[in-house]
Amino acid sequence: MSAMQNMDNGEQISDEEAREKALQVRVKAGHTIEDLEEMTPRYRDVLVATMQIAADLELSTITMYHTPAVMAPTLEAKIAIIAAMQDEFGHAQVMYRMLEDFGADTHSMIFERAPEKFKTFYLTQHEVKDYIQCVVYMLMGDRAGYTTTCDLEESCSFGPYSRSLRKVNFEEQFHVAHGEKWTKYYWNLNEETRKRVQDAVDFVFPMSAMWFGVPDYMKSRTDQIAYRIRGQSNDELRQRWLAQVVPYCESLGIKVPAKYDDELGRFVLTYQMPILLDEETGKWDYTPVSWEKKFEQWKKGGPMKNAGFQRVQTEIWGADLW
Amino acid sequence: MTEQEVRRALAAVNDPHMPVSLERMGMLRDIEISADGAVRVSVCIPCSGCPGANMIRDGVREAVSALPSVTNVIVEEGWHMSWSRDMVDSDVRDLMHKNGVQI
Repeated sequence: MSAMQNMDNGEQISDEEAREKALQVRVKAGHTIEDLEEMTPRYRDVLVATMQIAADLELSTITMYHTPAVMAPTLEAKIAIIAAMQDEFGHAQVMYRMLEDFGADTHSMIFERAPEKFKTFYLTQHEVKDYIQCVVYMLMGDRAGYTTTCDLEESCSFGPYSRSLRKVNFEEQFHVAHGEKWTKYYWNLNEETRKRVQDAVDFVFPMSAMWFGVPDYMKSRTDQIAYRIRGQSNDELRQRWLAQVVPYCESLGIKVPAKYDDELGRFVLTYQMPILLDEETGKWDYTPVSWEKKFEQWKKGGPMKNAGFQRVQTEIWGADLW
Repeated sequence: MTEQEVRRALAAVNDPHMPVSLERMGMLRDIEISADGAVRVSVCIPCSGCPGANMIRDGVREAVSALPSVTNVIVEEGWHMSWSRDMVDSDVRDLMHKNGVQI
């Protein structure tokens, strides 16, 4: 049998390539993959990479929300943060468990992997300093995560993953609602808390907007879309997030560096991506920089990038948790 | 103002963890309306230390306050009221089951 196939357009491609193409066509037509046997090597790689990042991100929130959980102003606030952390742990557990079907070992992934090998985003690589910052993180950061997981639930061609996200998304919706409620409360409480909310928004907003990654025009590889691992592109997801966060903030009077552009008919950032965070001062410098500079900052990571996982791996309970 | 009107207003108040009203979750209890326009609503909180209790309290207060001729809203809420999964509407139980939420 020939190892080459003739495509409709006369182009010759290898058998392997033909199988990849056939799978892309099937999932695009709405076919759901239920079994690992149905996957091609490339589909599997893209799916596993996506689930791995999602799992690591869920885990990174545990140490991130630790300080506000300790410093929570009321018992009810403390319970709400700890409940959210427990939810995130549960989501991580679902995702790592699913990765075991692909040959991974949860224990070694969490406790024996070098912290620098975990894949997270800049947003979760910072310590959340207090409860006000925490609720703003829930309003914007959890909302960003929720936007991503909603898209995966709606679109992911791997049925088990899509279905596992239904419960995840119910819970994420609660975190976002909690963030909205308490952001509003502190915004309206007094001048001092209002300033703290605005400071937290100034810090968190650009990181959350960047959660969705580089603009579409920069993406050379779109395997996630081609294999319908996810449905929407970076810019589409960012737009979905902006369309929820910006009107909410504007309704309260919170200033955000974004607005609805009447001419374009969509939300736009009022600054040019990418920008850099000055980690010394904790302030964003709105002077546009090159993407190389941005990638450098990402590569270096935020202060909690490795420290958070080191902590997970060295806490006394960590040793016999699993 | 009637109890029916209050119940209708409360149909818009969901359990913060589920896109389902408190009534359908089996959490809405007595509604008392006094002559001076004060409304007392009892809401059962199934779990002690529920992180959403505050949202429920505020949601109920907001929805009922919006009704004309309401002068005051008292929300009595708590874990002490009995609750079991049989009190949840059967189609809500199906929804939860389908979405992997256990009760």
